[in-house]
Amino acid sequence: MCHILSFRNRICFLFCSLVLLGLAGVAHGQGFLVSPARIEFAPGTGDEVTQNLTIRNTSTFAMTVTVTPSLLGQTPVGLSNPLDPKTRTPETAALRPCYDWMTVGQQRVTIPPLDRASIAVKLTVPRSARGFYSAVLVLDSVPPDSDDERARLVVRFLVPVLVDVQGPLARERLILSDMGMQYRERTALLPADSLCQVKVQNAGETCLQLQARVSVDALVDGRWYKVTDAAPFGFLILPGVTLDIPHSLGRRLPSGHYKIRTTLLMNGREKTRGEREIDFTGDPTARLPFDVALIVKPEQVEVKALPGSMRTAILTLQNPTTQPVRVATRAAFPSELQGVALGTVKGDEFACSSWMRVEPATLELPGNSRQNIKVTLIPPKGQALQPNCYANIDLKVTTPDGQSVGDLQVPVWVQTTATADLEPAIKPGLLTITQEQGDLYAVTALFENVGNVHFMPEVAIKLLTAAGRPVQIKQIDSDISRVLPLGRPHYTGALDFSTVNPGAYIIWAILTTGGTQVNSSLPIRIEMNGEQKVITVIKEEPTAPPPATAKPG
Amino acid sequence: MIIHSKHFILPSYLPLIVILLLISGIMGKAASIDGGSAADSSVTSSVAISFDDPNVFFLDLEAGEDSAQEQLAFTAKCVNCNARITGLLTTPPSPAGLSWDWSFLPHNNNVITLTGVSEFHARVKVHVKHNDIDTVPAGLYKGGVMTIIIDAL
Repeated sequence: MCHILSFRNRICFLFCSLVLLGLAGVAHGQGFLVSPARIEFAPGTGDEVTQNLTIRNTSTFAMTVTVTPSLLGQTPVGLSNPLDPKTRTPETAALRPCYDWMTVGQQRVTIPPLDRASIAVKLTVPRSARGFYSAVLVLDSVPPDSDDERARLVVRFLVPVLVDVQGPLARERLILSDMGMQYRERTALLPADSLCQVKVQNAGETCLQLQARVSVDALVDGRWYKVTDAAPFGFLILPGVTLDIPHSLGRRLPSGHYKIRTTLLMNGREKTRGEREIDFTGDPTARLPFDVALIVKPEQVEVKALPGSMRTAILTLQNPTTQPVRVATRAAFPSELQGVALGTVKGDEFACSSWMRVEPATLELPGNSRQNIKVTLIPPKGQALQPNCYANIDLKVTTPDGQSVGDLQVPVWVQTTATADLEPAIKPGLLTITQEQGDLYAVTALFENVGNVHFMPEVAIKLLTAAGRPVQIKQIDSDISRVLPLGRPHYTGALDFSTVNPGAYIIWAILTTGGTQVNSSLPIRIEMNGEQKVITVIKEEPTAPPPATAKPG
Repeated sequence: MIIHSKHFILPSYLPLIVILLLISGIMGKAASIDGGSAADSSVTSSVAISFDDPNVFFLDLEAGEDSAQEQLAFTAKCVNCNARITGLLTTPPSPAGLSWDWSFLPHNNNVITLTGVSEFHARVKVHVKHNDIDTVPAGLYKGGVMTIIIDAL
């Protein structure tokens, strides 16, 4: 027995040694985590502000990283384009860089394995600054020395530094310079498609997060017919930049005469629009695939389903047209929950798409017909679930030969507790103002859903005198009808200062949902500079919030 | 006897087990790309990438072959931000007829958009090929840099 144990002992020792050697021999590659992913400042003029950038080395060996501040430009499709500050070109001259005001704590840092480095990014804002400025930190890994000269791997993080100076107001100027369409032949990986092209120039002093809505009409027998409302697409455009963005229409269009109409919106508010007629060379074999608007009932699926139970709901799809269509159904993760987190709570926790089933997966819907879709929900037992969970039912509508003729999304809300707390928790965020045109100013408010249930907001912008007398009230029209947990929607409304006298005022953004009201405020001063009104954000504490029922005096 | 043996076995394994646990902990930590900001209650953004393999591309064009390629697997993640991953291949001086290219697999494209999917797994492929087997020598193609760019604008 003693010999047997001794043998077992040796075998175990050998096994452990092999495991150790195996682990030591695993060559893990480079790994980094950078936080924040983008550095955003909202300082006043003359302020000094600092933000620490953390670089975590997640690999098992020490890594060196260089940090190089550069000018931030954009490629035509909107990607970051670091530019050398020493090289003067028309492209760099149009930018509004904060490069000269920025200092970076270290430009080269060696981080031990599984450790982190913190780099201070300090900004000293000149008193003459106004509007939006930017730069980019280029973080390059320096690969470990290698015995040979094989092709090496460098990891580069582009960390934008975005500075929105508070104080003298910035001017907005957006130009929709051109629109077009092009046909893309089928490739080995992509199907044939028609693309619309939108060219936008930001000639103002602000950074704009925009959404483009494009619709395409076709001229048939002397009359215009709507072909499609393309899925809206978003992009960010820095001041001084021109973008030329292609967007898929998801269908083969035949050659012909078309009209493209584009509307650019910021936070649901229209900024500019344009239209253009073009002669398009497309697919000579294709027929015009017009959008088909299906009728879906109910418009939202609401279910109470406790963990371990099974609940079902029925959706009815109706095709009111004579054109037969095919519908592909899918339980989809809501895009609003993707990649969001608040502390340790992550957006994924509020999604129920993984335990939701939609049947059938595809269905044929002849003209003037209807069919039911079954939605089955089985919340998993034995794991902590959020009290409110969300998903979408994606409905992709195509012609029988696969041309896209419209997409639909049906929201799903599941309460996973018998007595769910439906009281929303909302935190007000930054409130900003920019000059849109003349005496018309755009006010943008951010609100954060920090609770565990969605809310349906109504937002108003109010201008009050310092004494609290209402001067202007604007209800904001927004396409954000439902804010999911961890959502951070922006709302933009316009205030007209043409009849407002000089003096001190407070702008209030007021969000109301059910019986809950949340406010944020921005004190401003209006002064006359000759014939022109100058509006400046001031740093004074606001007075008490205005009553919700306040009316303009 | 058995009891005695047990007493003998346990102390001899203990240091190994401790070392194993430590190493597996380190490896587990290395593989994780989570922000680990449990104490942080504010909205913070982060972007991360980690490669499973060594930091080089081994491009050995064997005699009689018309191309060589190397793939490195990686995992990317972003939280509270959108990011796009692209690349830039800087090729070394190469003989005429030899061409280099790169792409992300499995979709064979040059841009990956991260909209915060918990973890995104992909591979980057660097590929050399020649169009004239008689003029392009076989061998290990050295030099060059493949830069993976994570853009959080």
